[in-house]
Amino acid sequence: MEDIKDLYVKRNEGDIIWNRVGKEIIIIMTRKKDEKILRLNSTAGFIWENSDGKKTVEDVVKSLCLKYEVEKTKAMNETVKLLNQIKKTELITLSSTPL
Amino acid sequence: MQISLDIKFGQFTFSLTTGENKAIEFLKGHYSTDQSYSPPDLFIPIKLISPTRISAGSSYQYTFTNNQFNFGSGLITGNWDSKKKTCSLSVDESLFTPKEIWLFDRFLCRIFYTLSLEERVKGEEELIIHGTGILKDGKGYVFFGPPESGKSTVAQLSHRFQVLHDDMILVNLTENEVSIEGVPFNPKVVERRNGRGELSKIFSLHKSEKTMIEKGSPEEFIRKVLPEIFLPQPLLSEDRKGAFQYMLNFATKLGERIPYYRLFFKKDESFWRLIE
Repeated sequence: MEDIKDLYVKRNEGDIIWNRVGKEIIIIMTRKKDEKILRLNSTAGFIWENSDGKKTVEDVVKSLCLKYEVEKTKAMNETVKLLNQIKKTELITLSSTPL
Repeated sequence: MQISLDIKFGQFTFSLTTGENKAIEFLKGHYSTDQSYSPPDLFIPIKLISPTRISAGSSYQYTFTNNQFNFGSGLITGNWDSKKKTCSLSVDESLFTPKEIWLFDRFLCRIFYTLSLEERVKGEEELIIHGTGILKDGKGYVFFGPPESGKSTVAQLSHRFQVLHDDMILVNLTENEVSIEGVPFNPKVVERRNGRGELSKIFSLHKSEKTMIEKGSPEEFIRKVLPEIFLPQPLLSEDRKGAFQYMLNFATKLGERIPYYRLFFKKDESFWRLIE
């Protein structure tokens, strides 16, 4: 089984709109009868903005460590936890090849 | 004989026309504070059809093909002619009653958005927010929140000032100004007066035993206000994503430009002293 850190991560754009508002990211899932408004805090928002399909999870974590001066293992654990959470809501796609 | 009623909705004049005297008399009462004397921007000829039973789910169904639309499974059908600036309607006559007119009002909001997005001047945006709008000493205040949060209570407690509406407020955003005015429907509980004024502050409503005001962030404002915005989707468009993007951009600009507060209030006028 592939390690999640080696997977490419891409935020989904279909039926989803988002804006940066101050330090947060506001996401609206626009699908009829399944509308949701979600809020990502500063670090989750950073991961979201960097999930462009060209970076792996590890690339994103490296950028996160530089930006917020956090320890890599802790950043990786938090990132994986977040990605697993938002993966369920179809907000992101993980793939072994660039997206 | 066809009878017309011209009403003002934001920057536009809608000319409603029907051959049914009883219907126009009802509409005159419902839109009494917003009759317009400007040349119409949109003609809305209305043909009444026999009533059908309004079922709970049918009210929100909407379909369209080319320029023909069907709202509420036949409650309102018609077509939009952009060139002739005409929106011809066949309306179930049961909608022109105090109990059901809100459905026609909601539909009129959608007509408003359709025209507003077609005629939009660059740099000018408009949205309808579920909220109470009040003008006091020339300054505009919006109080918003979900049902039962106290919008109508705030309107009642502000009867000394100019209550624009106790449920739906039109917000107009340009580069230089953010202004508010009421939508042209009779409010729920208070008498409204026409007017337009620069928006000074926005409050989310929270019922409380103690009256107090807390400053909120633009981020919090956007999260709270988004569910209270009437989605700006034109009649002949399925572009929900575009409508939500417009809404989110608008709310973001509003949150950046207008101070936002949480208002905790008990049922008296004392909150106005804090606002002042």
